Amino acid sequence: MTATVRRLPLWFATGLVTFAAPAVAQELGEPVPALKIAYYAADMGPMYEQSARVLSEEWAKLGLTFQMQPVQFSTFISNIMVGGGLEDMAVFTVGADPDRVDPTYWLHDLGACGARRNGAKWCDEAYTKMVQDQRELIVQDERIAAVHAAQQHFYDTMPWWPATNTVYGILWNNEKWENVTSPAPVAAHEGLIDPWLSAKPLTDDRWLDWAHYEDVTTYNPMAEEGAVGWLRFIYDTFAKNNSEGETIPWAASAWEFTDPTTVKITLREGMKFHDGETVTADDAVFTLNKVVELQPPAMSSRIANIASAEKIDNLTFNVKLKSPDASFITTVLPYAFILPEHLWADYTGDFVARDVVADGVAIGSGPFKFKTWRVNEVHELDANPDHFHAPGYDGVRRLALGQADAIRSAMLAGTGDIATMVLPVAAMSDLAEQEDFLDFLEIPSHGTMLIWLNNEKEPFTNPAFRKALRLATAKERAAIEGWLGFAVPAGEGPVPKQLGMWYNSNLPEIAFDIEAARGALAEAGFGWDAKGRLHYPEE
Amino acid sequence: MRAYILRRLAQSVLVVWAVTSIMFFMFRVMPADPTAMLLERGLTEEARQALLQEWGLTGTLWDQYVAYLGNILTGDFGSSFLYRKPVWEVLTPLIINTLWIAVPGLLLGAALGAVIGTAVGWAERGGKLERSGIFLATVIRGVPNFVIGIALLTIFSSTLSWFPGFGMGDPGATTGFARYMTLDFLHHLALPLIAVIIYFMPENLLLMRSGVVENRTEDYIELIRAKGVPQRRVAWHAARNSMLPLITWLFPALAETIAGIVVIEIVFSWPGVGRELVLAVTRQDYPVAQAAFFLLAVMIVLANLAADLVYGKLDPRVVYK
Amino acid sequence: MNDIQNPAASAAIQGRSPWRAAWDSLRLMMQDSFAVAGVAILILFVVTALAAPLLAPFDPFKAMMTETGRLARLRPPSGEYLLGTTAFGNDVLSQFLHGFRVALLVGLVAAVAVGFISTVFGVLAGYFGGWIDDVLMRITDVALSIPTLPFSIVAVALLGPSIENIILVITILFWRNGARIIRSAVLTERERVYVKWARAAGASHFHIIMRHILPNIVRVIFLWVTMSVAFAILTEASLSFLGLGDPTVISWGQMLNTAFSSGNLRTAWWWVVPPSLALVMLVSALYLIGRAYEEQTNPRLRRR
Repeated sequence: MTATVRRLPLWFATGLVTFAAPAVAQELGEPVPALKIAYYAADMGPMYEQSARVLSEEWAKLGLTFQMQPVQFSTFISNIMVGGGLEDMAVFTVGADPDRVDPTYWLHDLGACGARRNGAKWCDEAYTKMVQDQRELIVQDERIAAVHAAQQHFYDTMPWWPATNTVYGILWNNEKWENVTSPAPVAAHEGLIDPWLSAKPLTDDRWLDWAHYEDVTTYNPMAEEGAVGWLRFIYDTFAKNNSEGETIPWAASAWEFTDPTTVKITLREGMKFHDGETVTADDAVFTLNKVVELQPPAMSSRIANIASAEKIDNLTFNVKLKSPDASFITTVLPYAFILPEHLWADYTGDFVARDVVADGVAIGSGPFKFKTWRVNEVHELDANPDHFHAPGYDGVRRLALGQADAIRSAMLAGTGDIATMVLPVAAMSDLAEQEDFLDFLEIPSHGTMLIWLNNEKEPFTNPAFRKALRLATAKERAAIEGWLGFAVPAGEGPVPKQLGMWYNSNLPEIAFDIEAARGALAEAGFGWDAKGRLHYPEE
Repeated sequence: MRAYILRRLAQSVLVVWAVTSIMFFMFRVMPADPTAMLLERGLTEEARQALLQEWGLTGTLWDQYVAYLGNILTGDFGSSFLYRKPVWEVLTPLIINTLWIAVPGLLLGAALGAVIGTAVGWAERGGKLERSGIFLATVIRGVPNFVIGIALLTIFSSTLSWFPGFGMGDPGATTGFARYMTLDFLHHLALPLIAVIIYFMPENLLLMRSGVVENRTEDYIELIRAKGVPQRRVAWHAARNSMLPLITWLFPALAETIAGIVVIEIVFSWPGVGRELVLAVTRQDYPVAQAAFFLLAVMIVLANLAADLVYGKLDPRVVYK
Repeated sequence: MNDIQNPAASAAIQGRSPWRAAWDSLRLMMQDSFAVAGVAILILFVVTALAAPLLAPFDPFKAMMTETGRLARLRPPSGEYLLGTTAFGNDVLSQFLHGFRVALLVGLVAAVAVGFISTVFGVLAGYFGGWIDDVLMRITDVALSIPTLPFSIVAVALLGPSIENIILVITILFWRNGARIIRSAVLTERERVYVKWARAAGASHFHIIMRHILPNIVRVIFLWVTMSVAFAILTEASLSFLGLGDPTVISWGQMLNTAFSSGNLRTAWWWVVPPSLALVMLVSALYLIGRAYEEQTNPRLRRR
């Protein structure tokens, strides 16, 4: 363990050693300085720290030293992911959000020149053009080919790489519920069909109690940023993504591109809002035009490319896009919602700030109806029996418990019926093994732990150095020791292999190999001093 | 007397202003960004700027500060970034929840501490009761409050299943104010309340004991004793005169304990203001955190003021200047 | 105080050495059997902390693997892992032993820092009075109105979760009570006859503070330093328990946090009991010592 872990009184000792070292090697360049590894601080769970530690232990075998930098989530996002503040390296995770089943997020948003979330600061004009163009290919086969080509280009350059794909889980009470099914590759995110709408009660207790961590912050879908899916229980979306990665009809029964920038959408017949009014194309057009006009910050990334919506007849309407966008189907249709025009059109205040609970207008057409909410405590939604995919029970409750220990206790006491995501997956699996009445289901997901390098700075600008780090990346160890086995080593290239057809499976696998990594460094002129410390090639 | 109170009030306002300002600047220089959650999902820069504008986070720090102080003077503490409603709408129900464990916990802790403390103080010097009383109180005082919580949960919830392990009520229980009148609520209240009592009692006990020991050798006690009054009643006389330091200590302790209840709220998943404060800090919901701090500072200052005044009322020797 | 009540006039002006007073106070404290128990525990803890790297069987962050290449997680105590393993397959005993170092480091630094700041503030304000007193006490008033734990949470969030920052925050927080108590002790001492004599005999302020004031308030300082150490250790443990600790060092609060956030708090007793017990023992030991000083500073509590 070379300085990856700072045991207290040892630091100055290590400091002294580094101080004394440089005198030894003459034919070498400067020593490679200690590299900073930023990672999510422990408030996001201990997995990140553990993973960063394990990975750096192996990288240290290349003669490198590291400084561990735990960074709080929000600081990480604004300073490193968006703010361009990556100093050397980062080990962090991006979640299995439903819209990330489209490759654009992985290829473009995290990798294109000037893309807002390209925190690894890599810029390759040719690649950027490729990933921009793929979005506009509405014919799927053409798009797949373009996406695969972009992955190959990325793989050849290796500006950063994924380490593991997160495995999520669901834990449920099998004495009270059955038919709890996996929504893979998406984590059991609310607003999906599985496991929520498919679950069936076995007892008289027909309320599904979801032992969860966080509160919902508002029932206004234009403002909610965290519990987006929970709100989609109340407000129907046009489509849903299913476990096969397909986008299937929901409030919309059909859609088609009539030209590269126009999507014609047909609504399902016979849908009603919770107050009994019929859902029409007017409501959908009203909602879409309103969000385009207001550009609510919480929605800005998804709706940025929508130009307008116009009605064709009572059940059909056109959505005009600013530029051709194939990912509209996978990312916007399962996200955009329908508000009842009759409850909103006359509202004179700020739509985005409207307190819909106080105004009694937390009303959509979704499978559940709003019932109660107590801050930081509990949310209750009644089932909507008139919905076209009504749940087979009376309602769903979200317990905002705030900590893993209480979630565990709720599941053991039978107060909680189902737990997802937030209880550490290993803990869920342990519980299921110990208790007969609890079942556990693994959900392999496209959530990914990434290793980012500062592509604007030495030594990361050196392709041999990147290659060596890649070869010395212990994906397996990170999955087992960092994630307790509830992650799988990731595939090659930026797109997770869980995305099926979008993943380029022809990319050759790079096996973990410290010797090969050292070989790559030596070949590029790097060398080691007597203390085993890596030095740059001689000038 | 009036001049004294006025001067103390002016001082208190000054102190609250200072704490509020310190908090304001601390939250503003914090490197974290309240738009981070949205940024991760791809918030555009224009939308971000609009949001910052709406939250009053644009312009120079000084302008923001002046605007913030101005708003506070009109009672406007801003809107929560997260809940998008005025902070007091978010905080009021949570404050009530906290008071439910804080006030009975403190009162019971104080009462129990006073009774046991009197017994220990009145016991034979160097005797078994005194020594074990002091020892136990000192050791219990050394137990961190989260350890108390963990122990209570492990024993009474997980192992014996006598009490529920989290929250304020079973899901689906009565709502509205009526919920506070249910057995279910009391059942959930028990463990966190006991934790507060245990957390609070030992210091009280030791203080009371010191007071009684100091008083028991006073002449008037000897006098009462000489009159043949029963031991128990004599102890009461000594105890009554030891209440004074206890009461003056109680007010500031109340404020500090409410601030320290954070940990107990978190361990028991109690939906109180302390838990929200921690969440608000980690979620960068500045207006909520700042308002909670303001509230705590006001409470502490008022408690100190009240302690001084009560002390003067009870102890004629104190002269206000 | 009896021992200095009847000095010869010259001795009164001379005063006595603060070191000598400290030593006397220490000896007096050791006559209290509870305090002796406290000191014994403290010594035991210090020795353990110093020897921790030698005693710890494994690296505290090393993941233990089984022969089949799986993680040896949540193992109850056995011959191989004396205190079992954590959910991440770390050896509990090794983490526990390293926890001694953090606790004592936090305590030690806080004691020195808080003791120094409180003493300087308290002595300056109490001795010189006037505007110095006014300014220093107003600062103390503000500091006293800051709720301890919530403030630490914000401050650590602001500065970043490292052990240095946590110690800094603790120092910022706990000087305030000490300063006030020491000031009132100084106020009493300042009015004493021998101080006036010394002053009249032309002794400098520095001389009076060092030879007359300090020796007589040394017990109050000791009392406060002991309490500060206990508070500092408790605060570090609370912060770590809330997940705001330094992730690169292992502390007891941190161990409990990991058990808590991984949902193993109520089952993995071998992981939870050692750090809890050690915290209780250490803090109680300090309180027992503190209590002995309390009796010293308040002669009416002494047995006669």
